[in-house]
Parts: sequence; C-alpha cells; structure tokens
Amino acid sequence: MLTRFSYIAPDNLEEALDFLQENHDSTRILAGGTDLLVELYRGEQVENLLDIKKIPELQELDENDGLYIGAAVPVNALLENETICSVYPLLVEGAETLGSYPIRNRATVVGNICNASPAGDLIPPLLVLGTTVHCRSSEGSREIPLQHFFQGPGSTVLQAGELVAGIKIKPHPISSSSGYWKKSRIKGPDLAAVSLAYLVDFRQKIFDLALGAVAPTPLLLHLGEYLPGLHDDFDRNRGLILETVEERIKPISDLRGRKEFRERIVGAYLERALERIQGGEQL
Amino acid sequence: MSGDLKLMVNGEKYLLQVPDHRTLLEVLREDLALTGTKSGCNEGECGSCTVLIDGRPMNSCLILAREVEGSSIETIEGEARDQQLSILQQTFIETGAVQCGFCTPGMIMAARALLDRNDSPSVEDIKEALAGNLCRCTGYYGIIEAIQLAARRGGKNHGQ
Repeated sequence: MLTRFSYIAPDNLEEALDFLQENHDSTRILAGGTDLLVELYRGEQVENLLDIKKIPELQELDENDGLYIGAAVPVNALLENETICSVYPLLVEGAETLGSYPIRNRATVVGNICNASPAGDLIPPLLVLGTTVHCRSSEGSREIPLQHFFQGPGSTVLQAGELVAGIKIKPHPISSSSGYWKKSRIKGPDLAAVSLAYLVDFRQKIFDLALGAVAPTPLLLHLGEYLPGLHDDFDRNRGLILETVEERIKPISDLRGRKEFRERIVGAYLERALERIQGGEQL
Repeated sequence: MSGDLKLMVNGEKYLLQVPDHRTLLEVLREDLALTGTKSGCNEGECGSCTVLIDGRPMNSCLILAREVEGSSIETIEGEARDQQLSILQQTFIETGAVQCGFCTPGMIMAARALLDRNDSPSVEDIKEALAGNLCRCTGYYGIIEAIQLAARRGGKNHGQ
C-alpha cells in the first residue's frame, strides 16, 4: 500500500507548468510510473503526483525531419512505428532491451532519461544519435544537448518548475555503421551491467561512442579523429581508442558486476564495434 | 484526496470513488473482489498482476487506479465465458502449464494479449511476450506448449 498523496492530471501543458511552478518542492512528475511507483512502495514520500499523460502535446511522436518523442510516449510506440524501426535501428535495439513487454507499454522514453540512471537502456543510443532535450517551464523553454543533461545518478540539470516536454533526435546519417550491446546478468529483463552504443557517419567523419553503467553518468565520447587511422593502421588506432576509453570510464563494483568485469566487457564490446567499423565499406 | 473513477472491467461498467494513492491492483482485488489478479512483487518484476488495459498487458501494481479513468480493463475473471473455459485456459490445463497456479492469471493475460496481436507466435515470440512473467514451478515449457496449442486451436478467440 502506498502512502497518501494527491493525484493531479491536467489536460493542458500550461496548467501542468503552473502547478509545477507553484508546487515544485512537493511534486513528482508521473509518466509511465514504472520506476516512480517502486520508489513510493519503498517509502519515498510525496505530496503531489502530476500525471502528464493526458496532455496532448506531450503525446506527440513525429518522425518527419529527425524524430520528436513527446514525454508521454511509451517505449512500445517506437517499436510499433515502421518508420522508426527502419530508420533508427539503434533506438529499436535499445528499446527492445528495456524491461518486459508490459513494462514497455507503460514506461516512457523520456522517463528513461529523466530517471538519470547511469544504466538507462535508451540513453547510449540516444546519445550517439544526437539528441536534444526540450524543457518547458511556466517561464519559457530551453534546449539541452542530452550529454549535458545528466549530473550524477538520479540527478539532472532540470530546474525547479521545469519539465521535459520531449526530445528531438537528428535525422539519421545515410552512410553509417552502428551497434548496441548490453551486458546484463540474465537474458530476460534486467538492468545493464555495461551498455555500449556507437554510430559512425562515414561522410561527416563522425564516430560517436556512448557507454552506460561505467561512470556516474552515461558517457558520450567523440572519436572521429581516429576514423581515418582505423583504415591506415587499424591495430595502432584501436590501441589509441581503447586507451582513450579506459581513461574516461570509472566503473564501480556492485551487484551487477565487479569493476574489473565491467572494464573487460567495455573492451570486448569496443573490439566488436571497431571490427564492424573496419568492415564498413566506406571507411 | 479521492476522485470519481469510471471503468469498464470485463465488459461491466463501474463508477467508483477511489483514493488517489490506490493502485489499480488494489481496486480490482479489494474493491471489486476480483482476486484472480495476484499481488506479487509490487515492483513490476513478476507479472502476476498483469491485466489488459485497452487491450495491452500492463502491471497493475505499478498503475494508480485514477490513471486508467475511462479505460477498459480485462482480468482473468473475464477469460471464461458462459461457464466455458477459454481455449487458452483449457490448453494450460492440458499441457500441465499450471502447478501452484499463482502466476497463471498473469501468464494467461500476457498470452491473451500475444495471441491478439500474433495468432501464430513462434517459441521466441512467446518467450519475449512472457519475459515479464515469472513462474517458479513449471520451468515454462508447459506454458509455451499451452500457448502454441491454443494458437493452433484458434485461441485468438475465447470460445471452444
């Protein structure tokens, strides 16, 4: 049984933002609730739950000119969208590993970001795809690159009275190579011990690598400078990339894996990624 | 605080007064006496509380009753019709997919939703659809077999 709170479910954004502005100290935002309700069962106290799912503009999912995902869009909406499945395979790979089918009917894409878990399943794909967080408050709006959104485990740069209305993802590069791997304890639904996503845009010479669960926040590394070298001297540049990545990660030991295990998995996934990139026809 | 809640459960309309902090699972079990839906982990891990909300399987322990205002809910009590078990219920019995039975209502609701979207699921499709439902007795093979058998018998429809 949950302790008592008030449930507020406005059907327009202005009303929600005004409520949040006036009650930010005592209010939590309820989207899918798949993490929030677990916290409440464990004794987290809250006065007000502000349900944002009934606000039409937060239900928007628009795949024209990149991709816009409103804050109330559940994860399964991505997996049921044919355009997204064909254009953004990386996002689909991340989404498929998030929880179980019933959880994905409820859990939202934006909730996975706002929860700010270092292990959030959708975060590495979103980081390499180039994602901007669209924030709203009663005083205005601002756009934050996703890599600057996280401050630490469970902590974001969102300010009092501010909520995430949606995220905007760049159009997918045409000449590209990408991959996503997640190591968890079981094959079924589980949080990541390590996750890694990469995206290479061969035309723009961009090589972005994102890592989950190996630092207090998800990491985004730009490795485009090594891309030409991978063609000329693969072994040397592979070594340089591994060194760069090892310097940036700060894994901890916990119930999902020891620090050394996480380091080894990162190395193994990175090898897979580099071999796949080397095999890319337009390197 | 509390509010009016209009719901359709297994085809019957309800108008309830529900405190804000009550979950859908609590309202089903305690207010409507539909105790077929089980309360297990209260974390969305075990799937024993799975019900269909507007046709989609969800964990009713992680949903406030007031969130589903105006929705149509299906629970295990709606599976049998006119005193006849559904095809799925029948095949669960035949293949030995039920031992202690605690997970069965959630399993059947997840399977019901799977057959609604895919009338001839592969073993992989079934494993994926049931990944959120834990069973500690059967080892799952009887359950997979039951769903395959139900699919072959046209289990997308309830009737025999």
